[in-house]
Amino acid sequence: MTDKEYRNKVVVRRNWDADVVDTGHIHDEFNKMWAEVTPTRIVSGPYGEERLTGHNAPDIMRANTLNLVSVADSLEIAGMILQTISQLKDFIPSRTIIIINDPNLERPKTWHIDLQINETLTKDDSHGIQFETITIWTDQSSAGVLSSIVGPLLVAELPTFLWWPSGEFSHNAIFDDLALIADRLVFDSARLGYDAHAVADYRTLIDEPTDPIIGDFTWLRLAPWQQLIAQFFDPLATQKSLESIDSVSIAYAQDRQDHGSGFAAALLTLGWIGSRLGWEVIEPLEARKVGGWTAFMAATDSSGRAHEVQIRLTPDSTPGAKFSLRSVEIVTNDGTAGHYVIQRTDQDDLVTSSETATTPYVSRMVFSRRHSTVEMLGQELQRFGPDRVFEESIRLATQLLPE
Amino acid sequence: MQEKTIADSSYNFAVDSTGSGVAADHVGHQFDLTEAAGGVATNPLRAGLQMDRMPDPCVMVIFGVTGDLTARKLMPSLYDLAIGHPLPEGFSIIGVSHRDWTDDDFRAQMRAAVERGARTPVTDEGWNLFAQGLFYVKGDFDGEETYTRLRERLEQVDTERRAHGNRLFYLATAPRFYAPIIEHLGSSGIGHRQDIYYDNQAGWNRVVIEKPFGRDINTARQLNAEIGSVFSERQIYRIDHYLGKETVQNVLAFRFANTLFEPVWNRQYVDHVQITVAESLGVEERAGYYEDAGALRDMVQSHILQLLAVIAMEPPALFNGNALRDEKVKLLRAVVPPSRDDLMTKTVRGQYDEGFMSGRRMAAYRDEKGVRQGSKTETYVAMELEIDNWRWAGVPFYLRTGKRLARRVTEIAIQFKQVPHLMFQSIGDVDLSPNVITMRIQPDEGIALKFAAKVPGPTTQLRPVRMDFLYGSSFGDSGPDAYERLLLDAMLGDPTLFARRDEVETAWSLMQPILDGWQDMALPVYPYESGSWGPAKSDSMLRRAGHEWRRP
Repeated sequence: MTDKEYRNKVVVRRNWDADVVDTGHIHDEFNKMWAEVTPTRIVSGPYGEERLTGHNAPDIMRANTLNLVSVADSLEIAGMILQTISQLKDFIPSRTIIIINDPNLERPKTWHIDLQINETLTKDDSHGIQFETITIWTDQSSAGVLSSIVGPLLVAELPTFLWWPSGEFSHNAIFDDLALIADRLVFDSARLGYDAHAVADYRTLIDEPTDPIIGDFTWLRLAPWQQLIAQFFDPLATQKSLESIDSVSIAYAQDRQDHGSGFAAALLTLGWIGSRLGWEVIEPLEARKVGGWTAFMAATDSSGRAHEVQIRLTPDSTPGAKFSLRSVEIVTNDGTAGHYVIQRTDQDDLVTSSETATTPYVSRMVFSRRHSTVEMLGQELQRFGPDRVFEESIRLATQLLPE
Repeated sequence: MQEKTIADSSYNFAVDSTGSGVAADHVGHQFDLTEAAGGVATNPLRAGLQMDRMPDPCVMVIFGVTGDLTARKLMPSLYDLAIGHPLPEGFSIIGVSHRDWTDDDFRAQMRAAVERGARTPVTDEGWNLFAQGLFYVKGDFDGEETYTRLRERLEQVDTERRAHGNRLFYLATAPRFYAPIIEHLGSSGIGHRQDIYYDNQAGWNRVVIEKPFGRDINTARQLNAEIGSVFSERQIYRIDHYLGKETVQNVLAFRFANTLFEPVWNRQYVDHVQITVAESLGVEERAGYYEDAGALRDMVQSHILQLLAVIAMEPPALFNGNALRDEKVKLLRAVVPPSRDDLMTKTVRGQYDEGFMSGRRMAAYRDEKGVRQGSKTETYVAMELEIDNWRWAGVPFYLRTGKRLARRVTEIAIQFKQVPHLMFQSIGDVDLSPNVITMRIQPDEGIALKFAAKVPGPTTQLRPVRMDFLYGSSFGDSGPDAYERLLLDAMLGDPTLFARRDEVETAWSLMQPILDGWQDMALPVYPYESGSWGPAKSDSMLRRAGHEWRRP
């Protein structure tokens, strides 16, 4: 990994090894580094125009946006984190703190500290955004030790995001400790695992008032699916049939391209549809011998009549199924059958089709490029408040998980 | 229904006892005042979606599709919107113009335009999906058969692409075609009045009109009446792209999302306000239009008065179409244009002469192609306005705009009063210039604050410093183009950032006495060198009040 691979440049850098991490020293170093990078300013003074540089040019204002904390358990992950941040376009953390927890450190019991001021590169080579990165490399895995370092390094009064790029977090003391100082947690539930039991960790993240607000890349990936599902029912003629959904079948990627699984995406989709339509769980997910899961939910229509909705989640291991969801199929029956399907055909396209008793079969291809990690992190960093729909979807989705 | 009526010269607003509002426009048509509530709002799956600003499926009909605006702005913005995903499945565009194009010709021409202007790189796959929804209808804007063909095409697209009868008509033509297009849309039944348009069984109709909205108060009223005879005010979207700019919207955020500034935003603390819209370009290819318009009609009546309104209006109760525009209209109605006696001293007209810019000799306006010999058209205007209300009484607002000025810049500067007592005077060497908040709209969008600071050292030496907050160095990529935002808003039925009828007519009523006075009194048009900051007369206008123009 070299700096040339980034869309940014390192403007100034300091690094050193130490037996203890002196956070005051880190702040001092950053002040000196900023003085070095501050360009010459010409100001009007009592004796005419003055050229001011470095410490004497305090009139540059850096508008700080947010803190980002991330933990890597390998150099590879740390590189991915840094590369992702350096490619952000919309909203860049003012200060990123990356903890590399490496048990195979060359000099045990020491801390390697690396400070950088980076600058994004613009198309016309003009000055971009400058941001700070602190990388702390240690073999100390004690949660208390790490959070005691991270806390004082955060820029005051800014929201703090914790990006947890690896999947597992339950029973992880560092995660628990850092979650206490974070306002928002960003993770990817696709990395939680391949089946319902692995995704059960999701339960530990909700309903604790002290927990940070959750942002999930899997939820972001579902946005185009949600739009297209909702669109089927925008016309008043089809809206009524939302009350008479008979079954929802979702095919998901068993093994995603990035080694995660589409199971969480399928579960969240169900949670979303069910919570929007006021469904309740009758029977949680049960594994089928042929693979996949079934469940039953209860839907109640506007006249108060309840009916059963059959749920089917099916893993798809075919070579084409590399992404979260492969297809969503909704069947309605309000006297006459309605059939609504969305299918991902490749990484850029979704195909929708629908047919009801009153409208003929229509199929359409929709451009829906999958978003990169950089784009998804960029979106997450712009969100501060809770997403009520997401929270309700998780809540119902986790009720579907078997005990 | 118990009615409380607030009457003014143009509108009668009535509020019924349930609190929902209806209003009647000048010809007595009633229109709904509640905010848009399309049928999709009842779809429970729509609630709270992250991309919730998804318009209904619709067909956009662009009149004048072979023109510069479509190629430069509309089509690239629509492509960016489509690829960025907020446009609905089945979104379609029908271009109307007199050129002998087929659908395929139209698609090929638009692809070239999109490749030149879109933010999103054009791929074959992305383009092909977008182009599936592009259609072309050939015809004269004043020919009945054009609208017969258009109606047939619309019905076909409605069926094939399920647009549900939702139509957005965009008039990207020369203003002389506005009236015939509107009339034909009405007579052909393609466009129809919808006073309460959320009853969308038949689909919604909206019409977007580009400025200029008339060339004086009478033509503006006439145009509004012509459009209003076919469409209700709720269906009319008068586009002023300045309002779609992120930084203009940020003026609202700056003023009304911070408690810090509003307490000092008044006559007690503000000495004067300067609004500058400077262009470095000359008249270029627009002499034909510009000769009849001039800087006052081209910039002041629209863009600059909009900036004035957002910088000086009272806080709206809500950020929505009517609340925001009510406040803007209230403010504009409080503006006092210079009286006929003051025209000489409170307005300045100028015209660019020869000069140098970036080391190149530039021609005088009168020598530009298409400009009449001995033209008296102003390419520069400066004026002083007063706002006769509680907040701003006695605070001069200086506005200026011009072509071929030293640099391209649009900014609003709020200059505050001096501190009431200068305790540092006894120390001697001090330079206490007043605080200034500058909001830069373009380029280098941002906000700057000038204040005094002590120079470090054993002596008390003060100097002015300036804190610069640049959007580009904090928030990364600039947001979508103003047209993207405004086109999406029009499709969504959100009129907040569009000019309302009374707003346009009030703006014209402010400018009309100036236009009339200039004509009647034959006030001079002062030449200024290209590359300068305007005629010297403009400087002396401010000097009389002890002020001076900023050098942005």
